[in-house]
Amino acid sequence: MSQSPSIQSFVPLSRLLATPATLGEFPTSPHTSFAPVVFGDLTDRPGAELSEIRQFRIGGKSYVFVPAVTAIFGLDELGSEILELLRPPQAQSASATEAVQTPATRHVPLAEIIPALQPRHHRSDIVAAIKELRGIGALRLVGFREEGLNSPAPQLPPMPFPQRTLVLNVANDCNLGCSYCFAAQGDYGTPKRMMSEETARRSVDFLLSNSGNHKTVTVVFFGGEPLMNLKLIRGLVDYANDAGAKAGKEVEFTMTTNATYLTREVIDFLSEKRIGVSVSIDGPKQYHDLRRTYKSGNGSYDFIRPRVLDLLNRHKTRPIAARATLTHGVTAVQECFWHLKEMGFHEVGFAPVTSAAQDEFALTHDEMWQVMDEFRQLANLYVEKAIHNQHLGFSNVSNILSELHAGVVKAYPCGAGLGLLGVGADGDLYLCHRFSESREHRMGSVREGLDEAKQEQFLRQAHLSRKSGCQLCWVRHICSGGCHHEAYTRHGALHTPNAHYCEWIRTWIDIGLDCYARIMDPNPFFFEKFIDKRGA
Amino acid sequence: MTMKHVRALNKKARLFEENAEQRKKTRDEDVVALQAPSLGCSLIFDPGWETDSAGGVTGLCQPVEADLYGCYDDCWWPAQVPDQLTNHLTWSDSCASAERDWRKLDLIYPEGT
Repeated sequence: MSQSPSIQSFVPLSRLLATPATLGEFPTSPHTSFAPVVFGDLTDRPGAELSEIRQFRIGGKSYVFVPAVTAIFGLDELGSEILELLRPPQAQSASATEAVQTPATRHVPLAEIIPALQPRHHRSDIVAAIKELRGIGALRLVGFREEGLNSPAPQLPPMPFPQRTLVLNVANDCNLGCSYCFAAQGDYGTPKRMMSEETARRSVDFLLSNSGNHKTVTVVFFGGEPLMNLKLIRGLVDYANDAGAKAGKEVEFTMTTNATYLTREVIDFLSEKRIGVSVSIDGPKQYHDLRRTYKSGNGSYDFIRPRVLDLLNRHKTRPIAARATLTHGVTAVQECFWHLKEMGFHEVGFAPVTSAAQDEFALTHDEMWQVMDEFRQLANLYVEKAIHNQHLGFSNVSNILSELHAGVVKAYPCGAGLGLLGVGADGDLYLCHRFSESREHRMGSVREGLDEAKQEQFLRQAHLSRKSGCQLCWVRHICSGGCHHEAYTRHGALHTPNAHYCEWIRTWIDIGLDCYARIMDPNPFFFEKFIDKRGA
Repeated sequence: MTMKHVRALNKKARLFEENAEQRKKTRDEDVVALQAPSLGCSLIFDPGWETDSAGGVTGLCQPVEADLYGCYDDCWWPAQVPDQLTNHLTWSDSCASAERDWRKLDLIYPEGT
């Protein structure tokens, strides 16, 4: 028997993957290594079946979201009718909260589809529409040889991944003692200390020299309370601007602050140096003072209010954002939103608190859904304004619209460990600012560089394809299992999907799709004007 | 615009639209014959394809445990299994029972990929 040399050159996959030059054991999920391969079924009745889609209607218009590629399309009546035809008669459209959107399809031979639609549509139109629906992955043809439309094969991002953002823990201490703080009242459970100037400069050097082709990089002043180390910030801004100019790059600065240290002099400095400011403030006094307190237990609202108003009045070079945390008893999103907008904030964003389920401040299940109702109402207002080219400044909607507009297929929920890293007070690198001072999540330091082996290990383990339960979910490429830190806090493992809010996040993304289509159809320019400019 | 019944809304969708236009432009130059060359039965093996949507095999007309080993020794059934007679002698060593151990069977990929 003769042996072909070309056949000899085939080797088992496991041997290929065992070599260090490849990606190790990655991936191991049966869903990815055994990705469906369409050979062309051998049926004598060629026809069509639904692919994985989420179909939705607004008014009389029909839309389809294709989860595998995160693409959104509008359909004409014929396109919509064809998809309906492929749904079994008894099958209802799945609700947004259900992971699997196309649980049922039926094989309908082309010989039946065309006559069913022909009374109202021309045959050539029907065929063209079927081809188009196939082209976007909304249906698949069976009985033909075709490539099929599979999710892109999972792969690690190209390495080394360029850094874009460093979040510096410039002050590992805080003058407040907010009960829900993930940083354990500001010091992450480690000795209180300030970042040194030398460490801060090294951080900027590290960022610039590892930023690849990025023309703009961002330094975030974080803490604790970053303004406790104002002297360092003043010096570092000049240093970073000089170093950036030498490297041919622009350095942007932002800061998250509790506003207690905002004097006029500080505000003028922030404005002059174009430092973007995000203020942690939870709404009116009765909500803010519930948990944003001094360590004595006294609320901080009365103290920060005049300072925030000064900031909004004097800082004119960058938009100022409010970041409100929603906790047990604080679900009046609209009340908080309007309070903060009336103070003068340009953007207001809300984050349900990160908590273990038993924490006193944790939102209950019912409260999470109250929050959703409030979000939905604000989202509707957002759409009304956006249609008329006005911007409501509700960050949560802007964020989801920005994701949906780009349609990026994400394998990771955020940039943590990729283009974004946290820097601890001593110069150690962490996955992100939320993991500051956690030895387990240290990834090298600004002096010795990024621990690439640890980064790669993280990226393997945190990859969407490794998250059980996510593979069939229709929002998987947008949510990617959710915040690593949330998973770590709630489930004790950062690679675990945040299963406690799956239904919630699916509902929110569904609202996002609805908003997207309602704005995009009448006013696509809104996205150019407000969303594209927001940047990454 | 090439697509008449489907409108791209987001940026990703626009890529599909552009792609469709591109395909239309190059359609005449496509080589349509030999698009699916037969590579024999030694390219890949994909057990997932041979299960039903619930991962079971009992409802299939040719259960995987029945036909798997009917493939390589005489090649009567065109399933995608490696050629175990000459090139991949140890392919099923870790698979004592196909019904139980089929997930341990390896994939065969071209060298250098």
